[in-house]
Amino acid sequence: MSSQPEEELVVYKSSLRIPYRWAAGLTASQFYRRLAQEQKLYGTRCSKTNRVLFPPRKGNAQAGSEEWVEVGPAGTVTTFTIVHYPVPTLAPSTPPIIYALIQLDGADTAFIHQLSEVEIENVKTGMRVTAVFAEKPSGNITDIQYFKPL
Amino acid sequence: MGQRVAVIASGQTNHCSKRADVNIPELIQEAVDRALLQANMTLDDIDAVVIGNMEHFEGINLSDMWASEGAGSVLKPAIKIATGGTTGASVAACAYYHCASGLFDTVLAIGWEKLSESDPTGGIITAFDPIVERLTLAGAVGGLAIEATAYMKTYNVPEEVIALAAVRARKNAKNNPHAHLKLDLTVEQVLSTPYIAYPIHYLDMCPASDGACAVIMASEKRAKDLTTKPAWIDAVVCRHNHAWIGDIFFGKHSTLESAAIEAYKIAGITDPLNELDVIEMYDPASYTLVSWLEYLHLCKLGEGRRLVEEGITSMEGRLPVNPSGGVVSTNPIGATALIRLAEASLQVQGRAEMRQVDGVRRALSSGFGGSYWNEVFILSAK
Amino acid sequence: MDRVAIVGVAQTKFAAAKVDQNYAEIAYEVTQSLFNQTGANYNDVENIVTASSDFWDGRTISSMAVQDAVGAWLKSETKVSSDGTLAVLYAMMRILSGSFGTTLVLAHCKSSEGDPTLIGNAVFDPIYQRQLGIDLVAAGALQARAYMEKYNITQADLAEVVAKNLGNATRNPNAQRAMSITAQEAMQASLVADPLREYDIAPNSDGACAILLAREDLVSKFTDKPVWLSGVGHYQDNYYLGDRDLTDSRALEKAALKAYSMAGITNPRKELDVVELYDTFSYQELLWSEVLGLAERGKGAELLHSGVTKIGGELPINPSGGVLGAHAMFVAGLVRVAEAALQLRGEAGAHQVEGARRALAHGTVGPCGQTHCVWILSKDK
Repeated sequence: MSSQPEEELVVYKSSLRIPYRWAAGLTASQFYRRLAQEQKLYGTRCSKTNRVLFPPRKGNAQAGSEEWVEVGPAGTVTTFTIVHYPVPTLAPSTPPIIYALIQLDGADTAFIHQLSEVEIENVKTGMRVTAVFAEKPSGNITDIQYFKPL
Repeated sequence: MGQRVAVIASGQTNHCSKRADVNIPELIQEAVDRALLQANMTLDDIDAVVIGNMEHFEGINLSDMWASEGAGSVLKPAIKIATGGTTGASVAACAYYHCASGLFDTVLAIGWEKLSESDPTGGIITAFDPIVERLTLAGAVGGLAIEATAYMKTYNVPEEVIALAAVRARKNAKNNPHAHLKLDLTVEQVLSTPYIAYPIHYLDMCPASDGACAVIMASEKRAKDLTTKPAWIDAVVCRHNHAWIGDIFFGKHSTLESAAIEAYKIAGITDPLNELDVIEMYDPASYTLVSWLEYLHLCKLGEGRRLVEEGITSMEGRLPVNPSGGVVSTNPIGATALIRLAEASLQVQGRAEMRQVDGVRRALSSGFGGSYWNEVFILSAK
Repeated sequence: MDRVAIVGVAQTKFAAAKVDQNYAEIAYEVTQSLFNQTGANYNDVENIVTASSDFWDGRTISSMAVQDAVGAWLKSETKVSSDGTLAVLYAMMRILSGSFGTTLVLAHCKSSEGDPTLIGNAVFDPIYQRQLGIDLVAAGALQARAYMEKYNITQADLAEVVAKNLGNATRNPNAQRAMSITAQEAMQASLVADPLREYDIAPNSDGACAILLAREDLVSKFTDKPVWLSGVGHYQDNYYLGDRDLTDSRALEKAALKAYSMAGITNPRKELDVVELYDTFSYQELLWSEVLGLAERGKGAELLHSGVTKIGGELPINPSGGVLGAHAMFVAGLVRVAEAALQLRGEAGAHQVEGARRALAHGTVGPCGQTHCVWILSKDK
């Protein structure tokens, strides 16, 4: 192990530059298309367990066929956190940022999203919230801009 | 001491340049469903799952976590293996050891990749040390081109022979419903395509594909209940050498030869040319269909061209190589080496349909990647 | 079935940034240490299982960086792209298959060489989650609150875990974060992702760990203090946090039950002497201890407050300081196994649990503990 003083050690800085283009698949594409066109949220019911999954999942041999079921736009916060550091992938990203698991009305599973238009001290598990849709949908989860208190 | 292990069944998606209709877990699901269907099994019959891909190609960290949605691994024992281009073979080896250890009886091995979702060369280049090597290497094709140049010069092998191997492989792919590229070509057509990196022409090189492959293995205890045609895995050998590309002796492919020698020893093979009935070799570029046959000890060094020119490795020959069309026809990287094992097992099981070689009793499959890493598997009908 | 034992363990000191060593060098350090301890050489290592992350290393085929250092030349080497506890399982399976008599297991990571928040965000799928910017720390905080609200666990309870583990770490020369801190002081630390404060969250570490496994008949060549692998279980849970009950873990429960069953353990609370579990966050020590059956559901904090889990108590948990003391991705689970082995060998120095004969080592990976692996190690065959 070296005992060199730090200024003599080379630290090479770089970053990976790999462009990505992710296929959402037919199921998620349908979800986002309906969100953009109808301003509605849909989950899928799994025929085997009869549970409505949100976000929607494609039907398959194990889960059975899929059935689209409207859910939300209101839901209940099942847990949340307040993040006090800037999130590098969010724009803009000024803390505090509130993440929550939200169970939409009609869905049997919860999903992660953000809360806004609410004071930190008023955020509580069990609170009722509703989706605020983005003005210009672009086919990803931020087409729901955030959830605000109902 | 250790259980014998057999491949029971396999499933593959139809590999192509882009699957926009499915996301990653959905793609994996397709291959898993097909393997279970061929095996006449359900997920309940699977004791454990092994899965792998090359993470940077899709930019999904801890990819086995999201993949669980399609892999059937929820509330099952599951492990992720990732070793670059050899991933599919490493996944197969891990599944093999699950069964051979006696701890698990039925294991689902999954390899997958969606190369359409990023820049494969950009991903591959990160395999190399960032301070010394990365800035000077041109992805996978650079390293292969160096070996091809050394080989062709050392043994005076003209481009035409290499191109002939490419033509044959691409034609074989026409018999394979899963293959990505299925092309009817002439030697002239191959040679007329531009060099990607001398001496590798565009049509000498493998494509980048979206695809998944699932293989179900079982220990001896269960294998005979699950199928009348188990493809027994007689040998599994891995050789992952070299941290640095510059350490490789181009002109002596030590890992493939070392792996093959060990595999033959374990399987009791002394004359591979005559004792093997079919080979599914990982051929990232067509020159390997000439050169690497030598490292598999099918002939002396420099004589690979004879095997090609005399048609010994063609579909009608004594030892067909890559009836599936090989990697030059299909390359969803995380799956590719597993596909070789799947194809070899289909041959042993007599399930290879239009690409079936008659009377296969013993097969060899290989996996390749990284800084000249290799795996060799030997499968047999008994 | 053959028995397999750990015949040697080695770890680097964990640090926030080991700027003077690259991956090969930290790997070489632990491999050499193992060889020195056991008298093993290149020829004694029959095959190798490494563990490392392409994302944390910023390098595809992250194992390529350590091939020379682990002595992979013309040998069978492979890489588990997951926690080191799973690499130990694979290493053991390779021996049980009859193909190999010894396996070297090595895990490495240099968290300092990447941006952990970005890297953690990349775990979340780009179709439904990634653009939200959520990372693994925020995800942990979601689980923390769910668990705390269900059972009325307070931040003070979490701070007691911090005080215990970081205090334990002061007795562990390899730990990164080690301090004599009271629960009150821990509660003064700033909130990072409410309800988690700075010390409730494991630090990001650089380091490596290696262990050598040998089949029963080869053990005496390397050591007279073998640590037997008596039981193991590993399971994966659902991916989406909202699909799971975050206050429990079906995957960990199944893994533990399987490991206990293999090892013949029916009352883990009484039959285990020491536990090294994977506490990426302080609340996870409480949660995992419940799912492991060391306390009833909701009573993890009670167990902590009883003093049972401190060094000197009936069942010390994380005498090494745990993951709160050092967290190198994929390495930390292997370190739990190594620390448990040190305990059974009587070589844990200042953090030794007296007379330990049976240990549990636990690793987990994936958001909020999606995959778990539980090991039971024994001094007696």
